Amino acid sequence: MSYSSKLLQEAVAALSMLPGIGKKSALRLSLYLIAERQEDVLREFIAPIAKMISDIKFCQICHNLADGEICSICVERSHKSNTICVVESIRDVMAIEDTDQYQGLYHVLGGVISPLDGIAVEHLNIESLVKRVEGHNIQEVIMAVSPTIEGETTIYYLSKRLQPLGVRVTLLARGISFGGELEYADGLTLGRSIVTRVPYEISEL
Amino acid sequence: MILRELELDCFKNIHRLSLSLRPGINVIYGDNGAGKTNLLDAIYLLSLGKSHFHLADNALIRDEEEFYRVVGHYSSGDDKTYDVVVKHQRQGKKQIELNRKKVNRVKELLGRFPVVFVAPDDISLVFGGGRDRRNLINRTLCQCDSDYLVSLMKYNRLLRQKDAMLKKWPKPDRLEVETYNYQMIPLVETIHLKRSAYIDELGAVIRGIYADISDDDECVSTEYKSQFALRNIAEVFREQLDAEISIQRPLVGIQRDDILLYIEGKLFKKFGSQGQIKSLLYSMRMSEYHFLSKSLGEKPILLLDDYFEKLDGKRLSALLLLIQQAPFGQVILTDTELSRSQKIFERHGIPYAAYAIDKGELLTAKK
Ligand SMILES: [Zn+2]
Repeated sequence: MSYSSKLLQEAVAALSMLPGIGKKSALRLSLYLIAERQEDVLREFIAPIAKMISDIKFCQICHNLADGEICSICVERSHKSNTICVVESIRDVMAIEDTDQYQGLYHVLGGVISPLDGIAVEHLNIESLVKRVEGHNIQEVIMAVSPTIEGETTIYYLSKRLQPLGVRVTLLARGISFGGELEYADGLTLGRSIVTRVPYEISEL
Repeated sequence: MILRELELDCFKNIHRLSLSLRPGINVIYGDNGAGKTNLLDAIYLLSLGKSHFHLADNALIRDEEEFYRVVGHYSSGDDKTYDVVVKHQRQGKKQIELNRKKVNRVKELLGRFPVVFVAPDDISLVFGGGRDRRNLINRTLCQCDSDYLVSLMKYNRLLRQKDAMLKKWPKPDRLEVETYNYQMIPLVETIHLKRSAYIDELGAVIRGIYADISDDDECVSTEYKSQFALRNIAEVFREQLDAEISIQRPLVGIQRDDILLYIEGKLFKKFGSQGQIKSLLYSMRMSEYHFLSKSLGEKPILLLDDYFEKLDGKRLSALLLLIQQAPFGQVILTDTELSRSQKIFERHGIPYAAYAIDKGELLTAKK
């Protein structure tokens, strides 16, 4: 498509870099923004997005998204919960929060161990988890990680690291898809599986 | 299971080809490089979802084309019909369909259209590395035991992850490596047990076939060579742990298994004569045929590439005898010329169909 304005062309190109936005939608959004009053656009769209990009942080405790150094979940629940739910991504935290069935803490790993993809133990938020459990009277760690080969590898490795600390390690009740795809599991099933979690056992070989 | 129709699009050197096959014997003849082996490989692909020659899917696409597509129409003894489609586009992912439904896991396909391929590279079964002999076991067991297939696929994934882990810098600690070992051990247990039973039986089967085709009464035997023989599997893994970390590659596992082949108690590859080796190769291939028919309850499709070069004298007579025994499945064989096949089959009163192929194209079929 040819544009009479290079400014428009550049805005369309920028918007279509967003996931799920094609050239056509990008053009429609651009034309909509032009039709709005200039100061409204700046105040209602541009400012919040710019502020999010410049100000958002990762929680220093659980690596979830936060406005300050510590996220709102850690601030509100740290003194009243001694359970940590380990997840792969921030989206998993949101999916579990949506179920309203869990009032404990989280720990976002940032992925699963997969050396073939260049992700080794040191690339994940594992040391910070071990330190957290060591220092904060944590009673239970729930592994809400996908049941793939790489997920199982991660669960085993974490359990071995946590074993000397005497903390209880549990898994979500199986039979649903979770971890990475946690947000796609229906809320009811996910909520139930976090309530009826089962102990993780390492059989001696 | 009988392959009734085969359609190829842009597969290796074949541009477009469609072929109707018959139950029993089908002879495909033409010069070297005409595309005979590629045709058999396409049939193999329909059964196992990959090339017999371990070629990547892009390498199966005809030069300067963008995709390949192979279609097979099968019919079973009870007159049910099945369509299998395997297609692949450059940069895309290979797709397999069974009766117009997408096959997501290759295990849904394996064993449905059992096949045995006797190819020119066969001699590697005796002289090649352990990999060729492991492939023989895997091909057979994967087609008739889905538990084996699933364990092997999971094991191979773990092995690749472990290998990548061992090669990373900084070097992994013991726990990082043990994490993989822990998951591999139960799989090794399953695979080892099944391979062990298979190789035991293989020995007896090969001996039987060999005795039928050999002039002398030499005794052929097999032995399962494995790091885990009579050992605690976990202990074997533990013993090599530190060495694996320092050498930076896996040293333990079923990827190091092998089958040792003996004649009169001596290693075949050192002491077998040419005639004995030919008989052994025939016996090993036919053992695959034997296992698949026995455990699946139906005859696999037998693909014999350049059969005349490999089967002469007693071996050829033994094959003909097998073919004459009813009920027999389907055999698709290739040769450089028709006349000698014609002579053999006509002398034995065995019906057959013949197809001429040249430069990747089917010339007129004759019966
Ligand atoms: Zn937090």
